[in-house]
Amino acid sequence: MTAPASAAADPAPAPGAGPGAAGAAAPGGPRRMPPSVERALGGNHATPAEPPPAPPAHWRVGERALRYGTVAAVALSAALVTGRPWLLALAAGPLALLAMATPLRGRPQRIEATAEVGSRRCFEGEEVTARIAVAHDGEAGRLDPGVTLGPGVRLDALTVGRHHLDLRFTAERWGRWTLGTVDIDVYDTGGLARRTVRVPLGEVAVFPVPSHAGLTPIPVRLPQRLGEHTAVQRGEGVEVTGVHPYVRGERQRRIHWPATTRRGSLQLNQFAAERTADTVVLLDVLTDVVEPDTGTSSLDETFRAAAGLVRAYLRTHDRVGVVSVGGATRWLQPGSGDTYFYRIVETVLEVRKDLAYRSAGLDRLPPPALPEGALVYVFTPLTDQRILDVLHQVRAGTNPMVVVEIATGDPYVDPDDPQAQLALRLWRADRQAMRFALAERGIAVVAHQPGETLDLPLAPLLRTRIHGGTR
Amino acid sequence: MSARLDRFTARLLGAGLVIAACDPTGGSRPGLDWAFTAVAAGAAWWAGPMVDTRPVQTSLRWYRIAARRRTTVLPVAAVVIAALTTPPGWLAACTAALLVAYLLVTDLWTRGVTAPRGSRPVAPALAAAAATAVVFLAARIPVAGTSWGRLPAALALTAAMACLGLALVRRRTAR
Repeated sequence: MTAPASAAADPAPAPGAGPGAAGAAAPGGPRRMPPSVERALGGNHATPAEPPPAPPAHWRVGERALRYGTVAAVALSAALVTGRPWLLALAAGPLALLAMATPLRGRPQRIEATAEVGSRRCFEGEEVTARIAVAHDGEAGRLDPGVTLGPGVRLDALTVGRHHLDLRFTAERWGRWTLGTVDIDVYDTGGLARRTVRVPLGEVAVFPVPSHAGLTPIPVRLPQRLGEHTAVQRGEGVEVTGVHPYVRGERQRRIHWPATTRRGSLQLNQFAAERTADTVVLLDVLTDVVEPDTGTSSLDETFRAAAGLVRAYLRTHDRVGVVSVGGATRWLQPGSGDTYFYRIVETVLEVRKDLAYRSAGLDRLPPPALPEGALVYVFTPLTDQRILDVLHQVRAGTNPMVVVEIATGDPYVDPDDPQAQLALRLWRADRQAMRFALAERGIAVVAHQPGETLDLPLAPLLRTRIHGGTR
Repeated sequence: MSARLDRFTARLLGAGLVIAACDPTGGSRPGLDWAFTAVAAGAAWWAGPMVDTRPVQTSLRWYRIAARRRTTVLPVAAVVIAALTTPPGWLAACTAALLVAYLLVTDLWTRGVTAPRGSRPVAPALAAAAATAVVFLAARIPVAGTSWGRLPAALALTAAMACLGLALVRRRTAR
């Protein structure tokens, strides 16, 4: 994808300046930015709500000309006011420097910049490279870029060439982020005037890194589709569940000879059916709780855990769907296949677009998103009681359900503030009450600790099959 | 030259420039003059190193703008102080030389992060030094009020017109 930006100005060229500084991230230890990156970011590593106002589209005086001109003007004025001729000598130096820096020929009339981003899809922690080519009709001086970063990305390195810039970003958080905006100051050959060209870098889709998960609990009732899970019904699988008398037409190679000998009549092995499972991952994006100590976002961890579970079920060739509640309800019908993972993630990737939540209230869950008998995993931090209404809708459909609670720390309160302490107790009691309400309804609630494998909380669910509710 | 040495050089030149402009030995109240010079030198020591940031406006408050452009404020303040005092000839020469040196050492275009690596051009430095020396020497010739005063004035006017004409001719031929 390219993002063009163009401008027009004065006449032409002059010998340009050389390449700027290149940067590389310092490995290990406290993070130290290369000087070129520090300069480009302007010392501001926080993400602004929006890019700065668009720069003026004309040539303007540079810092160098302003500096020399100011010193010379003050010295000339001082000489005239005081009548001391030696003060003219203080103006002679800056004026000579100004004269030497004046470009011999005019400045470029047209300046165009195009951005090319290497890959607009990546996982958290992966690098994204961008190259900006600057073209102009004459010979200009050097380039001085300023970068306004988008949320969720970090600028690691910046290389400034004569006619191009190379930027290397790292995607830090999942989401569909604006990569950033680059304001390139194009100077004339003497550095006395500059003109700014703005280049938007566009968006990138950053996928969450799935948590490790391998266990795939299944419900009691499985749909009538061939799969890898052993069902309680008779079928053509490989797991022997017993023997039964021979019925005319059955395959003779299944004869169980020990039982046949004991009972005196032909007995055949009986196999369990192997079925696929329908699973729906329901994401609670009503709130994003940021842990005060570590800065961990519950929404980030919700998606990582859910992505791990989705991948585990897709590996066993089950069908997986997704529903996100909070803001606009997004959903995708259950499907299977390796590429379905990316479809699922992309469906819910925009629930947090540039940290802006779209909260239009809770809608009813779309019926096609929850097939009958599908196992529903609800990933929630259990901090917003509106999720109970959603769970009630799911339970009304008799779907078996597992609530995966994303553990979050308590909010920080002043230890000397008794009212804050009471509020904290109330907050804890509220969450405890939500857990109790779920347990009372017979819903399995497991707690997932951020950074740990999802197999630990899911392992107890393998002892038995998960039952659904009743109408 | 390392960045640390660059910063130290800029501090030294800035402080020296301000001290030379203050002329602490020439005042009528030596104690007060020395105190003022010490304070000004301390401020110059802080303000001396160049501020290598992009030219974007981050604040509208005058003191923030002044702090950001302190490498311009420092020589301007030195010029104003020098105009208010009456330094002896040798100190005036030192002030002029230190001003040119400070401007060259703290020039972002040749010494900043975006400057190309390698040797720096010496022609601008030589031209600035030569221009300062010529003007200073011309200003120190004691011909004011005499009939000889017309000669340097006419020479200066001719030189200025010649420089202007040369610049215009170069620009026109380059187009």
